[in-house]
Amino acid sequence: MDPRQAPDVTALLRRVGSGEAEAEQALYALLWGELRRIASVHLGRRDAGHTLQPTALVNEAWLRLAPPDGSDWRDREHFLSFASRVMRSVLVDHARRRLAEKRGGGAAPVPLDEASDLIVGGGERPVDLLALDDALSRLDADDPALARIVDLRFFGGLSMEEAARVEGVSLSTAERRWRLARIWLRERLEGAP
Amino acid sequence: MSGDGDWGRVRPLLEALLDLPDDRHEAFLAERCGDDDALRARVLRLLADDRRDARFLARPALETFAAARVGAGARLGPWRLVRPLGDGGMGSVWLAERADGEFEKTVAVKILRADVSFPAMAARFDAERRVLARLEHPNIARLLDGGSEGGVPWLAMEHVDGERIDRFCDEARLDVDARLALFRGVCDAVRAAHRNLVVHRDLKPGNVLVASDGAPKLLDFGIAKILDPDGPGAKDGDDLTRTGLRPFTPRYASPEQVRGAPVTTATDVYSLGVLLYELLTGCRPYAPDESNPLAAAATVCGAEPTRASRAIAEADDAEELAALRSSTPVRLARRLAGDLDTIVATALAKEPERRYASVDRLDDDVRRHLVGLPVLARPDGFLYLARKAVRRHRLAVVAAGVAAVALVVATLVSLRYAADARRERDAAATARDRSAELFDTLLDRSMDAALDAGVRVHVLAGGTRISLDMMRRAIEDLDVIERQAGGDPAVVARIAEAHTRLGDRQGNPAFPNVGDVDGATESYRRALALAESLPDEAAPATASLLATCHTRLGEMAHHRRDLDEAAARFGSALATLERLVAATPDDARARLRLALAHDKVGTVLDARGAFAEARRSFERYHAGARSLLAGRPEDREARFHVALARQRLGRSEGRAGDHAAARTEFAAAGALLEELVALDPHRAPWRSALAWNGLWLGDALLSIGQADAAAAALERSADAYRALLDADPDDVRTGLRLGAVLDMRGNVDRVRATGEAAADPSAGWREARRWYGAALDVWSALDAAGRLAERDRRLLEMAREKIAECEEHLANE
Repeated sequence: MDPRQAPDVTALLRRVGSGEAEAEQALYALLWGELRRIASVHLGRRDAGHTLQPTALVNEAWLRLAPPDGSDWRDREHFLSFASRVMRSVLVDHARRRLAEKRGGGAAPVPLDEASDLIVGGGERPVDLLALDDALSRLDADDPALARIVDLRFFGGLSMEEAARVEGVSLSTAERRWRLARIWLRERLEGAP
Repeated sequence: MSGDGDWGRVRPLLEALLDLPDDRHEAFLAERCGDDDALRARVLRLLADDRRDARFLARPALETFAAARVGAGARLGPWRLVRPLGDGGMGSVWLAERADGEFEKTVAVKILRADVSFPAMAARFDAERRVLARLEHPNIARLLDGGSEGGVPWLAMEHVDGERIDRFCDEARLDVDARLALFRGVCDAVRAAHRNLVVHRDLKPGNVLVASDGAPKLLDFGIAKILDPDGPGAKDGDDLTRTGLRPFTPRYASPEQVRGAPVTTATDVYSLGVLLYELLTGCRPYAPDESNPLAAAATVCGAEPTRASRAIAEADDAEELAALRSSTPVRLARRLAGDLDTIVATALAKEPERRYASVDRLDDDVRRHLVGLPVLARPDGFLYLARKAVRRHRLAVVAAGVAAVALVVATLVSLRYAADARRERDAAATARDRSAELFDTLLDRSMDAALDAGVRVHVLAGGTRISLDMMRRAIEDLDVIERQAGGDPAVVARIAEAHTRLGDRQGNPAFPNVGDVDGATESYRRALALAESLPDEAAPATASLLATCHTRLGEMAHHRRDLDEAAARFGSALATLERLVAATPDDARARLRLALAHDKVGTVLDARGAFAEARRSFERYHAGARSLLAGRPEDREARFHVALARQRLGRSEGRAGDHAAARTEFAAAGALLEELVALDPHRAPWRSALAWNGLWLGDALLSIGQADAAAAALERSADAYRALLDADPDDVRTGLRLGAVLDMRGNVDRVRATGEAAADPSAGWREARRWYGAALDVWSALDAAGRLAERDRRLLEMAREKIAECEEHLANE
């Protein structure tokens, strides 16, 4: 055990908290690498029997990256929120790479499975991850609190309670935002009214 | 509102409707939407859609990713998947054929659960593949091809159309001799692989197929290594990737695999032992609970296998098992008793070094048994004793990380018993040394792992409780070890030391800890009691341990502001270290510790207001550090402590009112610290100590009327703090101290403005106002970020008052 060698996520988080762009980039890079590393192992695990919990991944990243001291609750919640956003880009990036492989033409390998990695979160209609990402970016411009809760719940895998705590709102507010976000996104993804 | 101009109107309506009962929706919308039918229709439709499809986005993205499957027809390299053959812990296996039709060939394609999209992993995968591709043996399924697809590695292997070895034997009702002959074919393949330095790591019936010609074929050689997160390549650069579980099958895994110890050819010998046991008896040597990895680990490492002959005698379905071996229970048990029991037990020994030294030896004993020669393995008296001991003292430990401690206990006990037995054989000394050495290593490693895990878990949600629980278990384990130790001084000393380390992590503010201050104190007390029970308290190791215990207890007492106890503890530590240094004058570490003990004593005295006594302690701290440095001029730590000691002395002089003497000390400390910082400019503690020293130097200089020198010292200090703050803007202490230095710098100009010889008082006030303003800015920034503790908020008031004073003077002049 040598926390001195681990990157100090807590310090980075604090610097991100004080609006430092450089720290944000550093933390993003750190987390992206770590989450991608953890997530892609799981993404390679193609058995319906294995249900993944994104929170486990995020916790794993926290466990690996956070120093064993000097971290308070606020840091952790800050981390969850940040990690959820990073998780989104990990998954979107994964989907983009898959798409590129698919379109890559002659020499490119044929993907393992034609559609599965681009389509997520099935309800009545499965969702195209890239379209969802795009819609979320626009929701973020329209109503950022709603976009944030989708990051936390859908990409970060947080429970409603956790998401409420991270956002610093009541459970009922979190639930209301979640429904509003889904309503907004569904309308957007199903085409304009 | 870039996306949807109407959302601002829609959202409040939806929010209200979500809280309203359905039958009031129409009325509500009629009232709120007025004539805007489109808006009303849209809101109602959105709400209805939402109700209709509650599953939209309901599962987190990653879960649905995971649910994706490889399908028939998918292509991997030149291979097209035809149908699934099976699914195991390492990945799924598919029957595949050439997709380009170049030639007709079917292979087994194994899609591994691993990620090779990182260069280090990819390189490792390729390297392993090359080694495995060279493995050619009639009893080993060949590796033909491999690659990766989107970061997922796959291997194409010779497709063996055969039956699992255990089923094959049962279906053919093979008797013991035939099973042994077949088993020798397996040994032959493993031996060939070992000669190529390839360890299988996951030998089990599922990986041994018997083809139609009756020859065994081994699958998946070395693949477990590719998946091993601890394997070479995984360690490149960092140890962050090393938290995954090693791939193995608990039922066939060796104790060292379960423990995470190095895997060698002895691991395959063990797994062959399990395979042989099952082929001979149809029973398992013991039944690890595979649904609970920790319980399984405890079983594999601690449980003694039932003798093969007895397993048959005791089996419920003995008749059937015997019939499958063309025998009867009584005959089969008799056949297994003796040599075969011994062969299997030797292969299944917990410690690799007690197993057959190679597959050759195992195979040779099987051969000897088949031809009626005496086998070379012996049921060994003292080993048997040791095994019994392990069994007797086995711990049922469930906590992660701490399980390792239980293994230590088992190993310790067995080693000690082994040592006892060997003592009777007149080899006591060696065995004891070895036992102590192994114990040390294991205790260190497992305690550190457990404590580290505890501290890390602490940062997770609800982690404190788990951490405390793990700590508690660690304590219980130490208790067990203590009882087993039977007063052996070497072991008692190690346990005492383990208690001190436990205390450090529980709640010593000087270490990363889980905040259990009382627990920490208790652990230190236990350590002290154990250390005091040691026979020779003058022995250097014992004295060192005693000093550590006293020091830690003093630190805890100081932390809870119990200055009496702190003084007493530090005093005991001091006395012990004095004896230690007297006994081992060349021990630089002991001398530094003695110097530091003087500092601790002085700090408590200083806190009590006994400044003159404190000063004498700081002088001893200084003398100790300086004499150490005189003998070791390159010792940077000694140099650092000389500087700190002089800083302490300067503070003492200042308290006593001798600011000139204080200035001398601070100047000397500053010079030493500057040397150190020049040696290693990035070492923050040194830079911080230098900056802090500047504040005191400036204070002393100002006190003796050297305003210009004070201003220069303070500005250097302020620059140093700014640099530190740039490097770590969230270090509250640095921010507070920077403000303090700026405030002090303001004081210099204030003194200049009010001095009798002040040429231009208003310039002085203006300057002072500027510096106080700078201090206020720094502290206000901390406050705005919510980082200023309540007690420090008065600094803001102080700075504002000083600024107001300056402005008043400026207005009057």
